Amino acid sequence: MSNKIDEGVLRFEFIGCEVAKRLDAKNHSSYGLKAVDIIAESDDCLYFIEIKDYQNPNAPLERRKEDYKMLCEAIEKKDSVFCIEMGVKIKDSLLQCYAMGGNFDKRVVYLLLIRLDKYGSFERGRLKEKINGHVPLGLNDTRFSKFKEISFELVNAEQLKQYGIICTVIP
Amino acid sequence: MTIKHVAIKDFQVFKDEFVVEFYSGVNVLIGANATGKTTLIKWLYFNKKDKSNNFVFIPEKDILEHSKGLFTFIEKKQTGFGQIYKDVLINAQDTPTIEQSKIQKTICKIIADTIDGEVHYDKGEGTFYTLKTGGKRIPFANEASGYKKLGFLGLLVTSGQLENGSVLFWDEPENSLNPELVPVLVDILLQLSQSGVQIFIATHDYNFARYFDVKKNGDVMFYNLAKENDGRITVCSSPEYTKLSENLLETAGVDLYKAVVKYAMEVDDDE
Repeated sequence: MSNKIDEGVLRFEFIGCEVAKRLDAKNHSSYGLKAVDIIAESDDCLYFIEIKDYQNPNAPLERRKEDYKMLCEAIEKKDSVFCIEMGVKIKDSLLQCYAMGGNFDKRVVYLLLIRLDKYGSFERGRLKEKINGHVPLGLNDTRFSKFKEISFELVNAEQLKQYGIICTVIP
Repeated sequence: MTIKHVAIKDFQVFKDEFVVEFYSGVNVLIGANATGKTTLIKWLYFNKKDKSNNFVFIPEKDILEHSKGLFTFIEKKQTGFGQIYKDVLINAQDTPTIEQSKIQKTICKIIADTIDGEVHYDKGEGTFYTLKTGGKRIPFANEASGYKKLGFLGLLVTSGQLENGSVLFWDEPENSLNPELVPVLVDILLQLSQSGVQIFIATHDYNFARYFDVKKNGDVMFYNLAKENDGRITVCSSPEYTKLSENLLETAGVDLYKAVVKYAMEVDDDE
């Protein structure tokens, strides 16, 4: 069973996931909550996926400059807007899913997709290090018995495949 | 022996009094060029040494490749190489057979597996070579630079020159070392530290410093040397690499990151 979800110019195909849904940002903001872009659930995993697609040749210069500034600040500052927002989106999405009776008897994986071809493993590693402090990985503590295992990964489109997620550009 | 309290004054860049407390395990020194990292560890090597212990200094330049006849030239002071290089040759040629501890055996095995052999000294030829697994003999002149580095370390361990109470000084160990070998070398040095060897590393390499940070298990102290506007050399230390203030390795890393992002996003300053 697979699901396909379109986000911007990208199409995500979820192999082996029973449920994959694109969260409606407008609805969530009315609850005072932020949200990641997609939640998907397989037999043994619950994915919270945030998508940052910077590989858009048609993006206006001002937009590229703003994104560049955000990605740089994310490394330079301890509490950057980028990292704080990432943490809030994951935490709010986790809360909503739990409050709506989500099944947490499986691994929870937070995935941040950065689609930017020339952004390499070194850069991803540095950004992940900064975001780690804002993501609720502390829920791995045995006191939080409702959660089995929680992890966070910052990936490119190719690396999504290892999670059974195929990312392509909509023709 | 353990080097602890150090006070230097009127020596090269250390014109004003420079005081620092060193750690019994691994001491990682970072800092910009001309802040005295190499000067400091050389000063320690020459001024803290006594006859009762082994001090080993590995300089940034490989010298063993040129060992044939070099020792004689140095003895006759016919070269510009200093005492440190002479000591390197002496240490490398001195290869007694010793009973190795468990840690020493582990270290030697890691090195042998990495370079696929062991380094030996041919007294008749006056040269060093790697004896590869399988029996092939590779002269040091033909051996990979990074492997020579590890092999020399293995030679020092095998001959008992790096054992409990010894002090190792290593200037820029990252030179000629492929990044994939950095964690291997860091593991080896941490094991040496656990066997009782005090270690001083001067490095410009982020990977090196960071691997010491993530693998340390309490055995490492970091020192950041800086030159103030008035020429004084200052130092701050921390057991956590990320807590060092004004860390130029970090600044350089951030600058590289920003350059890559700018390149990737095709954002030009002139636009």
